[in-house]
Amino acid sequence: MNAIATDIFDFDAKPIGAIESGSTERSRPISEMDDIDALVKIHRARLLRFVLYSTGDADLAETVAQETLLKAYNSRASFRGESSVKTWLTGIAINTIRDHLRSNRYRFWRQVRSTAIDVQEMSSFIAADGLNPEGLLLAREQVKHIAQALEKLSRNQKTVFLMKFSEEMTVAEISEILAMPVKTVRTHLHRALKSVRSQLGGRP
Amino acid sequence: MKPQSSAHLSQEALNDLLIGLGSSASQAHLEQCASCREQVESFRCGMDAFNSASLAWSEAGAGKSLPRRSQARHAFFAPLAWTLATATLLLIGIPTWRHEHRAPQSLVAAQRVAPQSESSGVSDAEIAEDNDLLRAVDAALRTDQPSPLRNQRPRESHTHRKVRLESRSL
Repeated sequence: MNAIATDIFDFDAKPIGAIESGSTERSRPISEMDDIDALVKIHRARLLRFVLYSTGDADLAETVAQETLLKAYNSRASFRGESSVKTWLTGIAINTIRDHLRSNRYRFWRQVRSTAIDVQEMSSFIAADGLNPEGLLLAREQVKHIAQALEKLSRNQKTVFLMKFSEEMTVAEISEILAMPVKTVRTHLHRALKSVRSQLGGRP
Repeated sequence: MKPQSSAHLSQEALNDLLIGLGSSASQAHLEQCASCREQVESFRCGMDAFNSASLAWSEAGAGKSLPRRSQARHAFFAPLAWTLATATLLLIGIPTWRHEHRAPQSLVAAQRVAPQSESSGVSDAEIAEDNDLLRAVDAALRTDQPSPLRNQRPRESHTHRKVRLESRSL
């Protein structure tokens, strides 16, 4: 089977089991997991962003982010601290997205159309600190271009790209979380980078 | 001499550098080549802007979701609140309405009563009678006929004298 063609959120895919085995990165303090408020405060926005751009659905992102945090909190006893909390949560989020797609496939696709990301609105959230008007405009344009490029990526490419460049995971971590060979992760990243960089006006 | 394009890192080499899997040769080239460095920096700046903007947007979304939860709570309590508001309105409104609609009747009743009290209490005949009586009393008091007791000194009783003596001795 061609691993690249396999959707990370494939309905028949087994839940990702490598989440708890962790990565080489040392985890954050375990106490973070014992406080639901801290968990939400630290990770919610980041999770929301990840799911939002992975799925392109703002409503689904809200639901998945909340479910992910709740699942993580309820199963915190199983978190052994061998991976970072961020990595662990991302793995749970991926499984949660898959569950939603499996149960609400058609409804999800309807929602994708109705609650798509507003790129214009999102780009306006860029901080103007230290930027002159021209720099701010340029940064906003870059944000728009990246967001538009992401929309054109396949789901796998998008997810792997976000894990690498937004979640700042290593290729090894991504490979472990997605149970995907490093070579496959690399291929996804190359394809995604080519698309995003060309959108940004990179050298062909 | 090689063409300018081949002097730069290939797309794959650039991507490997961005992914974090670049070779040491690519890394060395990057340090010397401004054009390739610009390519890498352009992507990194773009991603930094995207990450900060999307995170800020998500945080704002996270902030919006709290009201969403409160909206859900509000939706739960909304019928109760409306019921209470309606009940309060009825409790205040009905007596007020009744009072306002009764008020003219009471006024009518008062108007009905008022002439009766005026006619019975302050009639001209009674006033004339009272004035006649007062004039008669006045005339009686002005008469020159002395009173039989006018020139008669009252006799002091034994007890009165005794009290006066005691007060002097003090």
